[in-house]
Amino acid sequence: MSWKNDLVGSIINTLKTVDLRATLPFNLERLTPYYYDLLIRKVFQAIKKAAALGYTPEEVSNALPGPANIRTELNVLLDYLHLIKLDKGDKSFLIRYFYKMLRLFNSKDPFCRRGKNLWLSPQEVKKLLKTAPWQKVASDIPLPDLRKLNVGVGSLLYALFTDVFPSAASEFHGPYDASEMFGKGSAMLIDDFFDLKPIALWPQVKTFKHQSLKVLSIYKGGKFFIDYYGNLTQKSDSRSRTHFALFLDNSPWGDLEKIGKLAFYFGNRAVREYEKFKKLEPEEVKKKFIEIHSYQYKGLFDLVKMDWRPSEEMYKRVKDRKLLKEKVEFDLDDYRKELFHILEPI
Amino acid sequence: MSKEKLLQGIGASAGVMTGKVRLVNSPEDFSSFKEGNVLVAHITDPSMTLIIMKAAAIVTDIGGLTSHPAIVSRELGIPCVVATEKATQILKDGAKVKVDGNKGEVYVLEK
Repeated sequence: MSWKNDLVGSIINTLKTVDLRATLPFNLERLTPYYYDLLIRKVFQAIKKAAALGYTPEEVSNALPGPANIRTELNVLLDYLHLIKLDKGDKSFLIRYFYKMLRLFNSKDPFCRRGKNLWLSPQEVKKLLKTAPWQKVASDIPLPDLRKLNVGVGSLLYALFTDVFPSAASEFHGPYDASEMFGKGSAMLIDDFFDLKPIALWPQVKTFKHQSLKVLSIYKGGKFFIDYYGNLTQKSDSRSRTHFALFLDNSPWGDLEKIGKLAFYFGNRAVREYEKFKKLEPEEVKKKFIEIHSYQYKGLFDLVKMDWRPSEEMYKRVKDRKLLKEKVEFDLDDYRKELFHILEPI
Repeated sequence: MSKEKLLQGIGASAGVMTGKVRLVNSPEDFSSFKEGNVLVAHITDPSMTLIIMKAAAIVTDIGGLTSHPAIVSRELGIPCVVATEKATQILKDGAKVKVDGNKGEVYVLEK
């Protein structure tokens, strides 16, 4: 029962901070019910195929974007479980499979109820702490430019993956203990932007200069809480940063004088890509929405040699259909009960 | 300096900052946005990235703690107030305001 409490509790706590009206281009619930059954049954087939080919849940989870993405998709799975044409045993298998994958990342807090979003193993953290090109934050280090870099690259992801699916290409993870290297009370947080050039989704991005960016930050004495969807929800997060390190396209990057230029590069790309997105016709937006949703599972589909792209039937399901009515407000107590009811037979 | 509390919303990024209001309704408004202006919009989106980088604070009509304006403000370390419901109706271009991201309040210092 405790894992269900943690799952439901974490989703509810996170939803308290969300204003559904602000989701761009629209809330998931306005389109997903039309096609979700087809997508998740394909995911189910892929997981079964992976198991038959000998892939472990760990290997499957590594083929997916990251823990925030798996948690988000688990939430979607629960919301639309009633629409899926699978028997009860298979639905239960799917939910437990997602849970199993999340436990592999963080067995103590797989749903971030206690605010830790761990993606790396202790060994990986240790190695990263030792090998990263650390820079001390000092007066000559352009911290404002570093902040702008995060905003530029983060906004680019919003432009490419919408407000709904940023976890398809990024993960904000930590806090990891860094006290051994940086002193008592030090913690490392990582902004991991691992798919800045999704050519399969947007062919025009082939001219982009960079594929990935990783921003590592060391904070001293800070308290951090990362929510179910992978967002840092504290009002203030940057004041106590003592060190940082950058990896650009998986290589250490220490060209500090060019951080501002890099921030502008990504910011400019974000503006251009979002302007293109805004010019899409409504039918095109719906098509792109289901493509991005499917793209999140690309790694899994590639693993078992299935086509990641939406099926013709998925496109047909949304074609000429109006977006469903927006549910701006809903009662979180009712939703909590509904989630427990869904999970009861699992 | 006298001040008048005009708006109450949700403080989404800590800090207090003063600046001149610049209403942003469309890309045509981007060119008049100056470094240190307070960005006031119904909601921000990635097309505003370059002016967000110049903003002293952000105020929006809608949004929660995990919406786009909240996330980018926290990254930049600038105050942000979301969910005021009527910032774009009440605040006037050029007015000098104080944005309190701790309390979620916006004060007008000079109209």
